[in-house]
Amino acid sequence: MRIDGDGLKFNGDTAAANALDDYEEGTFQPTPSISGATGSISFKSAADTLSYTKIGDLVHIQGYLQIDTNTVNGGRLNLGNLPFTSVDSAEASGFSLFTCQLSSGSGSQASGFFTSIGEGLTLLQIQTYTGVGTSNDSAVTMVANSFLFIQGQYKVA
Amino acid sequence: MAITKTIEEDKIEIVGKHKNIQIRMATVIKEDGVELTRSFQRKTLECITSSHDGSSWTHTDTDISGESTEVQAIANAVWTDEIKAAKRTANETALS
Repeated sequence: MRIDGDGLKFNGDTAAANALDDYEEGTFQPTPSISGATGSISFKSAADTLSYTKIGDLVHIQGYLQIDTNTVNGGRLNLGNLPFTSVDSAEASGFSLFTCQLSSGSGSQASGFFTSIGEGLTLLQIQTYTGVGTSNDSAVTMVANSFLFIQGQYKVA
Repeated sequence: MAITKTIEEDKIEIVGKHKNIQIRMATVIKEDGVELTRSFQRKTLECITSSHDGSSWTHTDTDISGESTEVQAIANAVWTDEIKAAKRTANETALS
């Protein structure tokens, strides 16, 4: 094991790309926005923060958000202000998928959500998963007082 | 014995082809000037925000009036018209 200007390297490896070069933990407040419809969603101030841990170029985020108000007539919920920008990599290899579940919501979400972060973004998109694809109508199910549980990882730029 | 709490921007980074600004804020607790704890909260700023109401796109320049003078200076320097145009195009592809 060695430590040099690239970071921590294991098992005699000298490649800079394989060095562990960062660790950080903290919190952030995601910013809600709606795509595909009008209206807005807000979070309760006591449940509007998620935590993150960054290890090397991988960021794990987790936590839950509680809906305060919802005035949308459709569309999907986006969460902006992620703590780091996602990587923009070859052939969409930086694309990442998250786990997201709703508790105390309204309507049917039998197949759950398709929650993803595209490349080069600081925004997470929550779409309805139809079982074979996606649709942009997730936001209507997130009624006031419902909880949105989120966790997952993404690679950063 | 004096306990103090300060919040400072201790890291500002410009990341990616659209010049996203990543800001790390440190909450520092000190006792008689000696640091006891340091915790972090992050936020990121993109040059524009984009929304689609189901039929058309709206792109809005990010409001940085509430940011520190340092962050405002960085944003004004790196968020050129070319960067904003590229970000609009990218968002319409990535967020449709």
